[in-house]
Order: sequence, then structure tokens, then C-alpha cells
Amino acid sequence: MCIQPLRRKLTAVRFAVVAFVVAVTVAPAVAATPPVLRLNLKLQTLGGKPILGQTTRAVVAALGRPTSRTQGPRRARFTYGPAGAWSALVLFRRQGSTLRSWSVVLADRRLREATLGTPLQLPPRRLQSRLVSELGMRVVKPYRCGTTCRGDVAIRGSQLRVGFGRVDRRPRYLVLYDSR
Amino acid sequence: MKIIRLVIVSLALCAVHGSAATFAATSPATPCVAKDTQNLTPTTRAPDWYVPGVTGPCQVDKSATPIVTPTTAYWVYFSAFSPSDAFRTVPYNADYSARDCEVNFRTCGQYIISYAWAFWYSCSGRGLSGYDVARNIRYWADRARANGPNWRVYTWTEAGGYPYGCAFSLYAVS
Repeated sequence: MCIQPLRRKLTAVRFAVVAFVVAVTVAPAVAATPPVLRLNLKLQTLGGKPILGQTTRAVVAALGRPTSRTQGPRRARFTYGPAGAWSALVLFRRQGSTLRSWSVVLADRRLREATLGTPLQLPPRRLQSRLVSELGMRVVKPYRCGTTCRGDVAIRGSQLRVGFGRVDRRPRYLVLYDSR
Repeated sequence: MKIIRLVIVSLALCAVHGSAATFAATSPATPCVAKDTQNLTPTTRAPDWYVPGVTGPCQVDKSATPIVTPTTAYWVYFSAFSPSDAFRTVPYNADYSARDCEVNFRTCGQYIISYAWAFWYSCSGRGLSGYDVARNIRYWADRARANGPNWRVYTWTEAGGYPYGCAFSLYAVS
């Protein structure tokens, strides 16, 4: 007589346990995977918003709250993603009375660029030649490996530059910065 | 014949004396950090002959002695190498940072480039240990002492503020 309600209760408990396990295991995995950043080097935008020369507030509005931030009176740094696998760093310096972004470093190999596709998956010398041929940039410092592997190109008609390379065993990076 | 012998002996003695003088500047047998304001090629590792705490400057400028001896203080950010970020400090503070790096490689960079994690990430990415970095900092601190009171140890990032180079050299303040 009492078996049917007991079975229903047992099924409900099982369902609740399964739902809990799924929530605990899947949710952090989803949260830990940051969205793919979309860069446009022609327009100097990240996620469709201007990224250089912006206030800290504007950067938060464009990219969201950073995972960690260090802010002093003259400089600030926003880090997106966990320390060991960050996807973006935004560096600020004081201009006049406000902190403004002057450099953005991108290190997620899934990064999408409007013209180049996935630049951090290209061999560095190939990336350099495509920055020149497809985006009309000028080589400032040809890519080479010394104590570190690095190349720099300049965006014509502006003070902006793009650096790219890798630090020994670390992932490749691309940095868009104001050279003034 | 005697005169020829005397000439040969004196030439040999001169040669021995000359090589000993060169040895004094470079060999671990009589090591010291010489004054050198010209060759400031940055390094990520100190030379093999340099032994921290043992190899000191050949001659220290007494006026460089600090009035106070603080425990580790933050290195000073300066923009002389813009668009790179650069950080400099006085030799005795560099010694404290070196000690920090020997004790905890993951945190010592906080005082040097205001970013402990990036310091460790870049330096260890170049295959350097906390000991290697500390030894290199001490070497450059001794070179600053040898050069005089207006010399500072400095370190910097690549253009755009990334990555940190983990190399050190000297900078003369006016």
C-alpha cells in the first residue's frame, strides 16, 4: 500500500541528487571558459568597443568586471581570466587627471580578429606578413627570437603598434598599444 | 748570453704579471665587480664567476652608503624607456628584493614591478629560478655600487608593457 508513494519519493530524491551533481560539476566548467574575444585591428576595438584611450569605467562597460585588478594613482592593470590562463590584460596609465588604457594584451589562442581570423594560431612570421599585407601595417621590429621572441608592427598614420611573440614555454600573445 | 737570459726572464715575469692583472678582474680566485659605466648590456643571469655576498665591488664609493636601511621598498616606476615600463631602485633595496626572490620567487616581484605573478610567470618562463634571479639582481647591485652613488639597478618590460623581460641593468640618475 505504502510502496507507491515511497517509490515516487525515492525517484524525486534521485532526481534531486542527479540535478545537484550536474549543477556542481557542469556550472563551474561553463563559468571557467571565458567567451572568445573579438578584436578588430582596423577599428582598434575589442568586443565591438574602442579599447585604447578608455577610462577604467569604460573598459569595465566594454569587457565586464576584471577577474583581478590592481590600481594605483599612476597606473592600473585589469586581468581577465584566471592567473594561470588569463585571456586579456588591460594596462592603464595616468593621462591628465584620469587613468586611461594604453595597452591591451591578448593571449587566448581562440581570439578572433576581423581580418586575420585566429591570429594567435598563426606561426609568428606568417602573422607578421599578414599584418603587413592584409592590414597595411609597417614592420618596426622584425620578429626574432633572442632572450624572448618578439616582433612589432605599426599601424600607419597612428601611434598605435601591435607586438606579438611568446615567452619561452608560455602561450603566444598579441599586444595592441599606444607607442607615445 | 747573461743579458739575453735576463731579458727573457724579465719578459716572462711581465707576461705573468699582465695575465694575473686580467685574472683579477674576471677570475673567481680574486673576484670583484669593477667600475664599468660603458658596457651595460642587460643580463638575465649573473656571470659564472659572480658569487653573491662574496664577490663585492672592487672599490665602493663611500658616499653611496644609505642614510637609512629600509626593508624591501617598492622599485620606482619611470618612463624613460616608453613605451616600455621600467622600474629602478638603489643597490641596497635591490639586495632586499634579491633576498625576497630567494625566499619566495612567487611574491618577490610585487616590490619590483608591482606584479608578483607576472614577475614569476616571465622569469620562470625563461627557465630562471628564484636563486638565478636573486644572484643576477645582486650582481647588478654590486655593479651599481662600483659605479658610484648616482647609479641605480633597473628592469623593464617589452614595448606595450608586456611581457616583463626579467633582465637587469644599470641606469644613471642625474
